[in-house]
Amino acid sequence: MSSRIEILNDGGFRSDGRRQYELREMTFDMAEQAGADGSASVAHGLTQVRVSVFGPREAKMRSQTIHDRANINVEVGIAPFSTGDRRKRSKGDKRILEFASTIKSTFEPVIQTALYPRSQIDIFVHVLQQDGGVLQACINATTLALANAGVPLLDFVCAVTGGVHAAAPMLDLTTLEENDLPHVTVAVMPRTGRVTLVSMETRLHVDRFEEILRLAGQAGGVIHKEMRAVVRERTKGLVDAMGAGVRTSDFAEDAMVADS
Amino acid sequence: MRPPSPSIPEKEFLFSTLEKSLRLDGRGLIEMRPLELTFGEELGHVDCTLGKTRVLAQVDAKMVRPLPERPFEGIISVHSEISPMASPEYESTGRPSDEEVALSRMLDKVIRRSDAVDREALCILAGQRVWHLRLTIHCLSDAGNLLDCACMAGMVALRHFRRPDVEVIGDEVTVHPPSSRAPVPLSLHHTPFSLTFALFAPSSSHTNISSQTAPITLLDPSLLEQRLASGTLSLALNAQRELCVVHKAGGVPLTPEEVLSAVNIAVQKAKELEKMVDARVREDWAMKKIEVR
Amino acid sequence: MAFKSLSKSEKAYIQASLQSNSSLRGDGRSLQEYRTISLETGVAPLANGSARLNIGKNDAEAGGGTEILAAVKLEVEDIEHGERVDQGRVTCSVSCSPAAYPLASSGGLDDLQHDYSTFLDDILSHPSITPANLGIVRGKKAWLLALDLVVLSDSGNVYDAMFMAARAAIWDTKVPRTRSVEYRAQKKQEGDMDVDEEKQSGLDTRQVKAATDFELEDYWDEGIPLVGREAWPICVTLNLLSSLHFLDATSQEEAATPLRLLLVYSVASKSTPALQGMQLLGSGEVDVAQIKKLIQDGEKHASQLLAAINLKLRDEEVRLTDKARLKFASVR
Repeated sequence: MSSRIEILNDGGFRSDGRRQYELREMTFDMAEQAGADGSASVAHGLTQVRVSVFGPREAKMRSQTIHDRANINVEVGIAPFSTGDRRKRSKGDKRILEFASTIKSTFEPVIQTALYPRSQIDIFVHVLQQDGGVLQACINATTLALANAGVPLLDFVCAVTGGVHAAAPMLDLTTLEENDLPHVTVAVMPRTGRVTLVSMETRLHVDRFEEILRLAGQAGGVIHKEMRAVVRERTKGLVDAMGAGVRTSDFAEDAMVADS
Repeated sequence: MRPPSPSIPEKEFLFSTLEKSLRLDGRGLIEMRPLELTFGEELGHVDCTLGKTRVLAQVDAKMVRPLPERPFEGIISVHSEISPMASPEYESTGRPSDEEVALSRMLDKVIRRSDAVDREALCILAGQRVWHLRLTIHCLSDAGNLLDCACMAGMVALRHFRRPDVEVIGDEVTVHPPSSRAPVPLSLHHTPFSLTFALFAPSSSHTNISSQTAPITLLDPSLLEQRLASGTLSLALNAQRELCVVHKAGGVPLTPEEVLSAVNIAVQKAKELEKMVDARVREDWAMKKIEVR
Repeated sequence: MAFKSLSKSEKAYIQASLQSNSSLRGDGRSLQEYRTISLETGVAPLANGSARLNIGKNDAEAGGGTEILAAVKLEVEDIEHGERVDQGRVTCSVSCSPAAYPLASSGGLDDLQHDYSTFLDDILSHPSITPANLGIVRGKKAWLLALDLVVLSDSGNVYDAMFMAARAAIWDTKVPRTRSVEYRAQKKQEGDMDVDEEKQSGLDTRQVKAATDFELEDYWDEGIPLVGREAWPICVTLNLLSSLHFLDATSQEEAATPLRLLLVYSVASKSTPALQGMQLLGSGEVDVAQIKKLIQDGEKHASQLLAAINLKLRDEEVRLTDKARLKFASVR
């Protein structure tokens, strides 16, 4: 495959017409989905992920409760048609389990779990389409879904994938690029600029790693801006709706005062 | 059942000593426990101890038909399981525990995905016969940092192992027993070592993860340290300064500089380990008199 | 949501209002009325055909409703000799997002998925409705059409929704055009080995009789729609409450109804609907005479529903072509 498609051509364009540091089109949809306390659909290019959050609520299994904080339960489902070749993965697949535990341990310190002792927060992740950057999409979607559910977070977690092609760093890789290049997924917490997740499974020289880590940190900031805008807009809608309610009740109070 | 959490005095004592850059077993913050490699009678049989953590690794090879989609490549499979033998905390029931998933995925990434073994060199006759290497990891005792110990044992076993020499004439494959021809070592691209750091949030703010002071970073955590740590950073890299795996999920967030300084420490350690492993393997091979000169 | 428990009084309230003279429903619909159905095709770019369907989405709050994602993947499959030499086959599987059934245990979810999958697969994999153009090379290779459905959320009437989503995904599917090729031994003439012979490849794509393999057309090609997609079945669920039946139950209504009759019809163009499958869910009994009448009623509902869906699917087709054309124009 690598022989036919040029990852980065002489003009500095990638196979899908992007520049080196250009991100794909992002869609953050925080519209509510049936039943969930909070949900979000995120798309980075063709990659689509949907996350639903339930809770904090009573744990399904008593044994899972922790006396001084909330237990976080992450389940990941991958649609069989999400990849180029159809593949059905069972729930016990080690990759999926690792993926779930990565998401869980990423969000455990970010969620203020101490506020909800003896309860459970369920995060259901559904990967609908995969075209590179699945972990990145899952993390961003989980952040938004948690925010949407009103779960108190210490900060956003914004993730982005970076790769290196012949010493040239690139951002937000597609499947095609991921197959050919070493790549790193980095999640940053924008308030402090610190890195909470680094995940790499391919061979990369230390110097290149340094470069891509810094670059991904900056890109995380860009994604944060987008995410924050979506959260603000959503919250504004809610506040406006609530404001409408308050006004009528104010009115009622006025009327009562007038009565007395 | 979850393991009983360490008692409060234990926890406080550990934290207070860490403040003074002291560790309970007297090591420096970035000092590993003594690593010992004991080779068994057979080639590719390694007993690796890191302090009191002990892992046994064994490699065997047999000839099989290659996978139809990769006719020129040998097959490597890694089997690992954590039995209750390693520590009473592990149970041998049902669904694999988080530790088991983490261990088998790490081994897979360090040994298979990093292309440590030249798979094409394991091909005997294209499309017909290839070597199937089976690496079995037995975790004998877990006194902290099982992950690094298991990866080390696995890699050293692969380096120590030698497969029987084969000769191909036309379509005929002749396997020479070790008594007639010296077995040949595997062709390895590089040797990645896994190094795990335990991260501790700076004092007075064990819960506040957004504080500005730098967290305490320990190399090769003991069992107690591992349990009390708020997050770990696992790196796998070789002596040629190439990173193969970086895995840090959650825990104390680090600045990019802190991540890189950990990487630099790991680079140094990997070089030391490479030297030591190389020397030990050679020493053992010399002792065993495999090659007749 | 299924597994929703309903108190006795809630149940009695729903049943009583349904059975009252003017038959009232919680959302003001009549007994034979569906909730708003929204449908979009071409939602999964990596699949050969896909659709997202939502029944009863509440636009004001942008939430709620039963939501199904269906996608078709085509795979090349070697066929065994003997059985159905020039036909492909269809398999169908359903997976449920735990978000659709937040109260179900993981075992319960597996059971449910299994139930849905078997019911759909039994009906949809039947050779009588398998699209006719799935064969590639007679006796050698054929397309395997894998239809996967994901239940993203369930607020009642999942079966109807699943069948409609499946139909939409099938409608959206395009089969790549293929050409058969065969290998022919090159003629060798004895003696004159070095005679300048016209270089011939062993591959011959003209007048293929004993094709052994195939190749895709060279130019970019959208593919052709499945033959027989009009006949793809749809399901009508009749919820039975004593003598009356109603359509498109919400999850509360489902919990209050003891019996459901699933009727699956296939309507080839202009002919009478053929019953493809039938299942009675729940506990209770229905006498045979009533079933006969129900089947007739179901037929009527099915053709109405089908007419509406077909209209929408044609619209979608036009929309997608327009979208593609616009995109193409903007690139140029």
